[in-house]
Amino acid sequence: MQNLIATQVDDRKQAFVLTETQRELLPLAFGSFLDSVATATGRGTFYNSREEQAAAVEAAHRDLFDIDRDVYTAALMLPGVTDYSRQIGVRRLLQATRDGGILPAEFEAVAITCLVRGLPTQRMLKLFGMLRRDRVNNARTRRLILSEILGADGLEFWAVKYREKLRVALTHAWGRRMASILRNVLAKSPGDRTEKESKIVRQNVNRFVRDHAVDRVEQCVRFVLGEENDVTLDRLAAYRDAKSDFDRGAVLPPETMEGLRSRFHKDRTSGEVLELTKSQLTTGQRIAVQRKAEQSGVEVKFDPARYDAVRLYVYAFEMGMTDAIRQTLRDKAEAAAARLPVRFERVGVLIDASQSMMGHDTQALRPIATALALRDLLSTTADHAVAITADGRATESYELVEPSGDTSLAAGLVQLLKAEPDVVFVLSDGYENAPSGRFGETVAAVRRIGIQTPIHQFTPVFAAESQGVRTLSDSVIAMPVSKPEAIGFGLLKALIESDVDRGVAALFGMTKVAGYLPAA
Amino acid sequence: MFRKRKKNTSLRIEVREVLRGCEAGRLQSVGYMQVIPLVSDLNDDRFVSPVQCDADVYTTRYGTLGFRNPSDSVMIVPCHAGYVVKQHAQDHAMAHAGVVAAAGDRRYNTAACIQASQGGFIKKGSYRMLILPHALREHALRKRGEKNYQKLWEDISVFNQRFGVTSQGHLEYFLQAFKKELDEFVAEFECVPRQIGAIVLIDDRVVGIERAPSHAYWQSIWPSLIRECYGSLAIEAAKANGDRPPERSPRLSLPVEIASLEELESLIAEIASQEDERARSTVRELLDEPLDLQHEETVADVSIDTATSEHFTGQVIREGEKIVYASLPATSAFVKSQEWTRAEPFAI
Repeated sequence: MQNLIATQVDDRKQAFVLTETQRELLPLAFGSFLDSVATATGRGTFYNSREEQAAAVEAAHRDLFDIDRDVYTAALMLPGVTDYSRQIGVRRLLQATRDGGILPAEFEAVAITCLVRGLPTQRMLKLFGMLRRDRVNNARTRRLILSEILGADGLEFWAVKYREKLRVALTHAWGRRMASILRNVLAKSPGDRTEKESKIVRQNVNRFVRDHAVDRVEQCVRFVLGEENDVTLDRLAAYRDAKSDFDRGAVLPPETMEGLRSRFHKDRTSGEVLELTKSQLTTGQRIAVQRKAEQSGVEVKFDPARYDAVRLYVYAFEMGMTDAIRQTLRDKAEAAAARLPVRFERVGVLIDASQSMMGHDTQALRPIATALALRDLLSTTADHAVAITADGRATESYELVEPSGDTSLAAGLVQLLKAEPDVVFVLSDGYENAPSGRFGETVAAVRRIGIQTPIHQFTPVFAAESQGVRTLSDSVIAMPVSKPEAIGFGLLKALIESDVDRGVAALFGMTKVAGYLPAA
Repeated sequence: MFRKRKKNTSLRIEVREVLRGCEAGRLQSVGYMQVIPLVSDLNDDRFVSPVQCDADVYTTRYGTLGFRNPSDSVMIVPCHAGYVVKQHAQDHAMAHAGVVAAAGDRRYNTAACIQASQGGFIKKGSYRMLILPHALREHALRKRGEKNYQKLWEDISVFNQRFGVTSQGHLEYFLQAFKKELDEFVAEFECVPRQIGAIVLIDDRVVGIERAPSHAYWQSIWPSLIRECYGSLAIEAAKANGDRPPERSPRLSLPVEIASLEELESLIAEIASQEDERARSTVRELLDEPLDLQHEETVADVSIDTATSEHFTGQVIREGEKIVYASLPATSAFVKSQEWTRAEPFAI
């Protein structure tokens, strides 16, 4: 399995140099960090509150950052890192002045931009809100906020959808006084501005904007800062007009129009808003509103192919499994398996379908959905796969398994091993209670019998109390995974534990930052 | 079995009546604590807990704890429910169970302050509920009729001292000091389908019997029961063992010499069956214990009785003859003294 990593390592002589202390500290800190970034979402889990999760995640970030900020930055860029982890990573990088690091300084600037652009808009704006809350307001931060907002193609759409968040972010970057000045200056047409006023607009707005978009961006900024009169852009004008004319809201995002409906059109229903604005739904919203759409009798089409397997499983739990979803899950599993440079002849998959795999209310069903998506992927990597739940029930790929009851995995493990697989994957949150420790004891007994079949645990839940993922047995490495694409995480963790230099090289290779390494 | 009774009359039943309609589920065991789930098809959704219905909780004076039930169902306030709030307000707990009619508002002036030397009243709102630590419940129940908000301060001080927590009369310091351990108890034990109650054991000794009207009710109060009430006892067991963390190995271990997967498979099943039988025999041992019910009050057609027996003391809520709620922590004397019949360790 380590070939998965080896194939992605740049074989050039590595020019970065790790100190002895870094070599010593990295494996532990990196392991804990990977557990965190692969699974933490900033929400509570079945087991830990939001605050406990946040404290444990912060500690994992701090420990790796303190060892080397470039390794930390590269690790944030790994595919499969949660958006939440990227948010707090970027905040940490911006907060601390660069001092050291094993790669050239320009790497970090490019990496930060990449990380921010990889975030969905609402999470990018949430990151800017975090920067404001933590009073991070250095030149790098201001430049980042202004260039990402003012240079965005979708600024007009954002302006009506995230008006307040944009106002907060821009005011944080400009300062209250400058924001106020800009509001007044932008109210004038360019020809009426004084030289000084034009310079202010150039320095604070136009230098972040492509030439042809200056007028559009200036209007958006005025709108965001509270000025609605005289706007001519379609969506901005629609926002203003929809307060009196419901039908003008057809080009607005549904939640924006819903807000206007609840304030200005109380005689209209949410269903009418959905019908009016359904063409404006984002990809994420199309799947999220299915239940509401069904209740309101509104048909909202969505293309399953545009969602990841975990999201599709959550959807299937809520709305029921269909042949279309099943086929898409199959396509995705096959595509993901094709990208993995490993194949097995026989694979055993043991699924923990206990009550705790339901997850916390704020991310309901995500752990079991992740486990099922992994089941499909792992089963697809084999010529012959057997997937069973802890109580020995066989499960077919692309089918739902409802989580309930206690956790007892030992008997299921033995049942799988009797089928003589090449490898066994256990998909579990790591909490065992019927009784606790039986799984570990069983693994030890299996080894004593002389069976050395590799047993791996994949864990979709971050456990605050263990500062990482929770292991079922001391002799089985638990690997974090939030989605099938992130399956390489656990292998990278194992590589860094066994060979730090090679592991770090693999990390840079996987995150495509090898180009920043000085030539050999 | 039951007869019509006047107020302040008493009645004797057996523990088997409290468990009527229940079966013992598979034993869950982590560290010092074991839980035998009580599963049942009896599922009475007419009753809700303060957690289920998002009840507003408040204090109007020291020693008076109020509940507003926003739901259309009768609300049963679990015996010794308490609230530790992040406000400049005195934390409070009930000294007994309570019943609030649908859409009703009720104040209990027999409540106890669990945070000495803190002024202020709890603002009306929804807060996380706890159930008093096991060691305090017997004291609280004994003083259930007293209108004295300071009545638990001394007991809390003694309780804290046992755990090396110095603050007098402040339960929140205990909760703070052992937050991590208490949280883990919630994490370790899972509700099973149809579960409406549990028999809780610490170190193989029965320390409480709990029963709820429905699965949903049970799910809503279980975290509070396992965390503060019984979790505190497990921490005490760990302290008695020199703060040694419990081993992660099961209480009945597999033998070292096993020749094949087939043998391993049958041993796992055999031990599971032994554990299952041990759980059942534990329940069986309890069934004949006489339980004296002392009638406290009748509200919304349900009555609250205080239940005492040689080994348990708690409260039972009944609708006619049907027991809809029971919380029976073992007495402290029993916890200290009992030597429960244990199954023989597995051997071949």
